[in-house]
Amino acid sequence: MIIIRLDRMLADRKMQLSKLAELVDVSVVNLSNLKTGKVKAVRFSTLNAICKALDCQPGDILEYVEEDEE
Amino acid sequence: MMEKKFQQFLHVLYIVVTIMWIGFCVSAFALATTFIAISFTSEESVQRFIQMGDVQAAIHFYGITLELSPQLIEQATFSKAAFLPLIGMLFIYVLIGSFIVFFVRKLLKSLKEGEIFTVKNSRFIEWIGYSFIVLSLLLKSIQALMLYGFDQMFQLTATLKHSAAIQGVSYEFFGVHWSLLFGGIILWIIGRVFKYGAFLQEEYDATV
Repeated sequence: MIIIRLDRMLADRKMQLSKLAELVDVSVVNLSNLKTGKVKAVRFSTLNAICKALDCQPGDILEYVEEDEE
Repeated sequence: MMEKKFQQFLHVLYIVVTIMWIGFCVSAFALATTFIAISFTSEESVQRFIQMGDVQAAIHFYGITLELSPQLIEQATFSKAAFLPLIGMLFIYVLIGSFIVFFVRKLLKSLKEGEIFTVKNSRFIEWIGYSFIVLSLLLKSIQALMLYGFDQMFQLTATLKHSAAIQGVSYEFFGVHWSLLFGGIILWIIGRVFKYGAFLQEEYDATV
């Protein structure tokens, strides 16, 4: 499964979620949903804006982990 | 975002449909009351009531209006056996009508509130479709029963046969109203399309 590591990147960059929301022009609610993994899909344009704002690669935000069988 | 004029149109339509719905409910109540009242009243009493009162009768059918003469009304014979099934069928007819108007009202309310592609709306449209399909199967029986009841009461065909104006009368008690059936199926398909629309809307809403 894909895990969103947005909280880690925000902590690394010492940036608030509201500041990122302002920079990428996405509502705080939507970014919060993204952070908690409640969304089904991410647009390339959103990913692009986040990477630009946080100065990172998509791989720094998205991570694949093996799903538990149980 | 919906246009302001469209919103206003929906609002007006919602009020009209609400009035229609109240009308249907009142009609259903009146028919149910009539059904119960006639069930417990003797045929003679109803007969006396018809002959005592200044009753006027006319048949409106497919754009033609036949006004009955006072002599024919005076000779009217009330029969419970012919009248009760008619009232019963009319009650079912009004009930289906109120069912349709009820769902149209709910659908309009959702649209008014900006909820368009939702599973709830698709279910409303599907139910309207089902109601139309049921109505298409019942409408001919209702119309035939109405005329039959009227005929039994005023002895219309007997009078017309006596005058040698017509040779015979037959009733089509079972039949399908094809345009209503087709309309119902189309509505049901639109309901299914809305269900897919609701799925797409959900996907869109869950995308950041």
